[in-house]
Amino acid sequence: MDLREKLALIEETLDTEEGELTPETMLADVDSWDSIAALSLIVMLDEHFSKTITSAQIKALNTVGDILAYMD
Amino acid sequence: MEVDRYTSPLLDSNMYVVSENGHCVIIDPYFSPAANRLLAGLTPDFMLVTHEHYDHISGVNAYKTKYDVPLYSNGACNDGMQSATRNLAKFFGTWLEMQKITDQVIDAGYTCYADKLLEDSHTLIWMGHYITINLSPGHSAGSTLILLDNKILFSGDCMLRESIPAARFPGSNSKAFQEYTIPHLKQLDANILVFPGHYGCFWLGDHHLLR
Repeated sequence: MDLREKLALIEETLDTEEGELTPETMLADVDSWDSIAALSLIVMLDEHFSKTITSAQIKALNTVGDILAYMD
Repeated sequence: MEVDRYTSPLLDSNMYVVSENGHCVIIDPYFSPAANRLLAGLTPDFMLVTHEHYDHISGVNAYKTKYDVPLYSNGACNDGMQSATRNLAKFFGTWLEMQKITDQVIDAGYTCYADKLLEDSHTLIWMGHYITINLSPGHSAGSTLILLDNKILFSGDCMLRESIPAARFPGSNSKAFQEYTIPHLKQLDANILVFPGHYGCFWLGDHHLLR
């Protein structure tokens, strides 16, 4: 999965417009970044990347790039 | 006929008990001593769930054990209930922890299943009442609207009084919600009283989705 595909998956997960996110985008600036989006992110990382993310790790996310770091 | 509600500490999800003549139907079962008190003196005939998410099915197995009461559901919901990933049990612990809710014990591997499968649109007659159960995808693949005598609607998380978008959750399908469930809701009587999956009841015609 290349960077564009990963960003598209994050956009779908966070319910944002296509092409809206870049690795530098601050999550605090994303309107839909809330507890429901966080739950969607937890599920997406588990389903697509077999990654289990803790609540502390979720809270430590600042940018889209921080999410991308879990998508290896 | 009487409808009683128990709001669980698990994300404030609502369990309902519909009772008449000493018999009852349990909707979205949550099990605890306090919740179980709603059933005092009643014989549960069957259970229904509005959808497959853990906060709406967590009591199914406990009530089956205690009362030998069967669960009825459509196939899509039944499929979801049998997977701790799709019913979200696997993820609830982290999500609650994130929201600083620490007093709930989550069974991360929880699954359950229907004892009787219903058609996607199915009407049961119980104690002379018509209970119509319609698969209404969007919030989840197995989301269901339960209509009682065309007067009361148990909406699960398809419609909440609060403006939380139903189709933003993992496994949600906003296209199915817009194309199937919203039109279905719009054809119902505006004077139906809605008992949602969380929070308090409201009149169907007052909901922002239908205005």
